[in-house]
Amino acid sequence: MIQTVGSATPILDVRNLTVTLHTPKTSVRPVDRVSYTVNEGEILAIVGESGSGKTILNLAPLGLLPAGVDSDIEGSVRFEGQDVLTSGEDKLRAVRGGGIGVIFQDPLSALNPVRKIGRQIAEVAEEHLKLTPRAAEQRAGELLSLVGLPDPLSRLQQYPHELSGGQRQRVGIAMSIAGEPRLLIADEPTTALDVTVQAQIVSLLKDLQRRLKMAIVMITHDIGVVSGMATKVAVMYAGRLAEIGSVDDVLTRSVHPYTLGLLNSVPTLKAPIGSRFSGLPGSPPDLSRRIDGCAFMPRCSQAIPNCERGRPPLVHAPGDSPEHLAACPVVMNKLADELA
Amino acid sequence: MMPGPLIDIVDLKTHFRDRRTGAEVKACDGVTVSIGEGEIVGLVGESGCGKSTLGRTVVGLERPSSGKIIFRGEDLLSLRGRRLAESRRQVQYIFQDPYSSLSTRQTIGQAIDEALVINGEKNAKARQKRIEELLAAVGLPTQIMDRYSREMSGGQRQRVCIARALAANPKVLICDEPVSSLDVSIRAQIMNLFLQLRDEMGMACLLIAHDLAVVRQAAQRVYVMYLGRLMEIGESRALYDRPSHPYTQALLSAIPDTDPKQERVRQRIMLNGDVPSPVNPPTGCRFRTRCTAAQAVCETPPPAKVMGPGHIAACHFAGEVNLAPARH
Repeated sequence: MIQTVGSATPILDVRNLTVTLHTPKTSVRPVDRVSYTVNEGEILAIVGESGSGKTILNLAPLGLLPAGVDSDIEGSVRFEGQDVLTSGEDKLRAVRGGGIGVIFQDPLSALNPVRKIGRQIAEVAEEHLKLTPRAAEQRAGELLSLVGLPDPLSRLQQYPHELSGGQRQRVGIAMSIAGEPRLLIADEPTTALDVTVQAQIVSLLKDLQRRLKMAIVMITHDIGVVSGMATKVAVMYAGRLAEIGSVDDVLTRSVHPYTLGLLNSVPTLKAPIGSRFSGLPGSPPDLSRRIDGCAFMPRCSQAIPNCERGRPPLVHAPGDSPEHLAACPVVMNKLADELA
Repeated sequence: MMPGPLIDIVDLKTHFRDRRTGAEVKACDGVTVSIGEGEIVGLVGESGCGKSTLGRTVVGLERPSSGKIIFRGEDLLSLRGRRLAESRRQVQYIFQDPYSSLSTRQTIGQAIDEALVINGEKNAKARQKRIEELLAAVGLPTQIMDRYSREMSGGQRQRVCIARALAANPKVLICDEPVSSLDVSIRAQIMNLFLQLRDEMGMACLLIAHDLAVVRQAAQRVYVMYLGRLMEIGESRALYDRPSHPYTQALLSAIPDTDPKQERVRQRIMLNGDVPSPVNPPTGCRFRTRCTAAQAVCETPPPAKVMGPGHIAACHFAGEVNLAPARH
């Protein structure tokens, strides 16, 4: 069990969260006993590849699973002390968009194509801040200028298709903060955007976080974006946390071979021109099959016989940081050597 | 030195007409690119810059408005019939999304077999043998033949797509964002496959991508495109060490560093706004509306300034402005 060190009640406290999805043919467990906390002012980046469970981890507790999927959710997810898993749909509704804002990966599919942008943002403010339609509309204009959209008042009257991808994502962000959330969940907020626009969105999110004093959970596969934005990083592999800690711990003092491999896979401007690319062999495991031992073992260059014995628990990583944890038998062995 | 040319794309223009407004969209507006035998050439730029349109025009998926595509001495745009088909066969296309470019109802073997039939191999036994060779060439086990694409990962699917393209015995692959829909840890496998195909089979490649770091490592030469036009061209080393066009400098500066300490202190060039509409591109230098170094003279067409051997930048102030110091 992970204990938060110091500080008051965290904004988000996830304990032993397990999500099992049932399809007609099989059952998969995309989230398997995951625990973490997010404090006020923190930006937690959850990093993982497709199928690692990072999106389900964040959206399932909010009741945002695709329609028609049968799921079992165990563990607890406390938002400001209140368990959202046991809350009824009414309470959940107040949390979604109110206490917790969500930014989706694809801004185009998150916006209603036949309604004006102004109305869509105002609706959130009406619902959660109990503003009158007129006041909400005015608030929508303010939000659009807050997210840096040029000429915000005339934008209110536009439809999503009239905007570029970067502008739509700004509208998506305006909508997500319209209910004045204390926590923002951003699911791959920059993936669909160009690098130059990505930089704009990252600096916008950082700026908003400071001004509105929100906590942010950012789900991403892009480590480059993480290093410039996150204060804390959790690396997920096959439904579990492989490593978690401060951004400096995880990105510069990484201990889990998967984290190291992932960092190594990001092409940089430092690699010799014409050299081979470094990445990881193989591909992530099929989560509908039973996984014994460490899920990363088949792709791991450092695997030892111990790796086959039970899935490794999260333990303190070597080093001075008490909040830096990793789940890897190789790391545990090294730690034992260090102590001995 | 640059190998002999395999394809010369000369002043290529591909314009579309917007069906609703009737406006002319100048997606690709006078671009000259040359690819040598066995050479990997990069084409980079933001979405909407026309890089995909250029690639699609080269393989015949779009009809060009003007220009030439000279493949081994013959202009593809003036060839007809069998000779056109024969040339087209040698220029194959790899799509970005291996999830939508494979049929869900064909086995992998059938998908490749179909490509072999189209390319005139009538003998079933010979085709079978060739399928095995092609799968081996892209690093897939032979048993995968009887499986369906839905049972495969993104990386495996992209390998199948490459095997299918190789079935035509091409000389060059036009790859449009071949790894951007794949997981980060898998991208290296596919990029290394392109390098391997070049080294072992002399396969040339036009690598169309927005990820400048990937292109830098793989390509010998790189073309930077913006709003339908070329901004800068050069050998990888020169272009990345001494980016001379402010747009190239901005693109390079947007690449994040994985080290949070570096990232905190790093100065980056923040471009304002988005790429303008290709219906009404800015006069003169097309980048000037987003360029922080723009002056009045930028409203006139920029000269092609030679910065070094094969290194050309289309900017009035090329070599004089440096928005950000190069990173190493």
